[in-house]
Amino acid sequence: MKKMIWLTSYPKSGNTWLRMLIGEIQGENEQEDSEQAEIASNRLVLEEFTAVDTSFLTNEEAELLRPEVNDWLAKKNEKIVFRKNHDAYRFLANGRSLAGNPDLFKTIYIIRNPLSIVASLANHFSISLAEAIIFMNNNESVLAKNEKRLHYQLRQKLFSWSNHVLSWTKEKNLELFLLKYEDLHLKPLEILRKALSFSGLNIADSEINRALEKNSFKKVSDAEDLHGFSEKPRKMKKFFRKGSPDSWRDELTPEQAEIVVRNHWQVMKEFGYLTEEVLDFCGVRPEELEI
Amino acid sequence: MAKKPEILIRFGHLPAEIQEPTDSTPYFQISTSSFLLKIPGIACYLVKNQNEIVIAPEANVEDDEIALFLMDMPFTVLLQLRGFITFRGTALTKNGQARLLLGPAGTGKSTLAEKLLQHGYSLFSDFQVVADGEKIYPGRNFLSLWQDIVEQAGYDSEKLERVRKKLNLYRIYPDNVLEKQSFPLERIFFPHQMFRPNEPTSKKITGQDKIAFLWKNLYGKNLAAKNGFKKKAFSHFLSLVQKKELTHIYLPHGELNEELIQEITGEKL
Repeated sequence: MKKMIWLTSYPKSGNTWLRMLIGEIQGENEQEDSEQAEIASNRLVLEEFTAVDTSFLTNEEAELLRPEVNDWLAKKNEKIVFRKNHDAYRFLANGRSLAGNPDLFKTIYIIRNPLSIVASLANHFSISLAEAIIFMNNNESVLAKNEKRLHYQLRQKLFSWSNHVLSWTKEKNLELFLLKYEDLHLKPLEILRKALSFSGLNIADSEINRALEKNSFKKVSDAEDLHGFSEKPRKMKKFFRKGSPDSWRDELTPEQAEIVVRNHWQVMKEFGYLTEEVLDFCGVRPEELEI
Repeated sequence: MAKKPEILIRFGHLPAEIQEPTDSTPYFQISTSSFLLKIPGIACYLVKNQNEIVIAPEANVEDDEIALFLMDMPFTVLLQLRGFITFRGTALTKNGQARLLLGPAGTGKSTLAEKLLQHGYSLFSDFQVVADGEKIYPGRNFLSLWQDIVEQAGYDSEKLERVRKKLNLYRIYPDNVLEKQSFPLERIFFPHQMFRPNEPTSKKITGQDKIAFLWKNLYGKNLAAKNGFKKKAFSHFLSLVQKKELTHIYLPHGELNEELIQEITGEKL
């Protein structure tokens, strides 16, 4: 039985919230450093299993160590372990998939309306909405890429939003559960139950409801106001911001929404995000996109 | 006849496995007397018998790179086998007492060290700080700083030596360095980049937590837990921190202010 589950998503797609919900069910949220411990790009995890100070390695050298470590962790797990991941699904110079051997893991891919990601990403990186839109359309977009300093996390290549989605969801060898962020808001019990069942965990509804109650988006956001949140970047004002699936209507101008739609309409269409409401908002006719 | 060296470091062939490992991963094997480490693209290192490190380098690796990784975990394990604790941090001194800045990379140790050097402190060990239950030993006489900190501090990176040619990590040799002396420990600080709203910017660590934090910051602690060194490390911690203050420092928005510098130096500015 596969005991490692990647919780994978483009950044700002609800991954942290989902991990907190699952962490609550697994009784791990009270552990020290729980927010950092199981991120795929965590430098300290790589260092623990390689016994190398990764700050002496180039990004490429550090990446080459990751598949072996991912496989090692997947084989070593005694219980089902969820690990957060923002990397695009990709292959390294040695032919290995960065995520490790697909025979050893399952993937929950969390997808979110790219229109909603824009403002969240802008807030996360303290950049403008226009810059966030460009970031999401850039195939070279990377997290922790500044080579002038040492990042707490290892470099993560994202690709564009569309290509991030496609890199995971079109990869034939993966056992993958597609979780829509918007569905997690609308019908949390049902979606969480399905995701847990896919992962090999059959959890009573009462237990899932308890986790949902304790980690409602409002509660984690309020807790951040009081105690801070360790994954919040230094310049960022707040990590858990709005979380609302429809907030993009108040955050983007029709012109900004139009750029996102024109950049990503094929993937938006495939995953149900190219709605009439979206097209009306940005004043784009479907026939214009099909050209 | 030449005197036998206390520690022999040499090139040689290495076994694929060590005997009776207490733990192993795809990259290392460890036992109570040996440590075999494989760093792809660099070298394999074997630490054995408390006094020998054998290196099998890969093709086309520069000597500087072999030495850099040798001084990292292989040397840390050798020191463990010889009874010394190692921290990743910076040790500075003023008036014959040592202040130790501890924590993982990127938490603000170098920024703090830079400031303390400006306040009359001298550097006597950086990066890998070696100690026992009595004192802090002298170590590297340069700071290893990433380019962004180098630039903030006003250095011209073009004129600096890199720690490794492929990285934007530079050696800074401060003017005030004390290379050959050991110093008793006075205080330990743990800088953090995270700003906690509604909480003070410094917080004392008390009681048992002192030992827990030292263990957390022991370099190579995962290996120390597997090679039998943990008990020895704890006995060093107990005598090292007796009546000493350990303090968390939370850098507001990653920056230092006068109040914090005063807290660290204990001096009015």
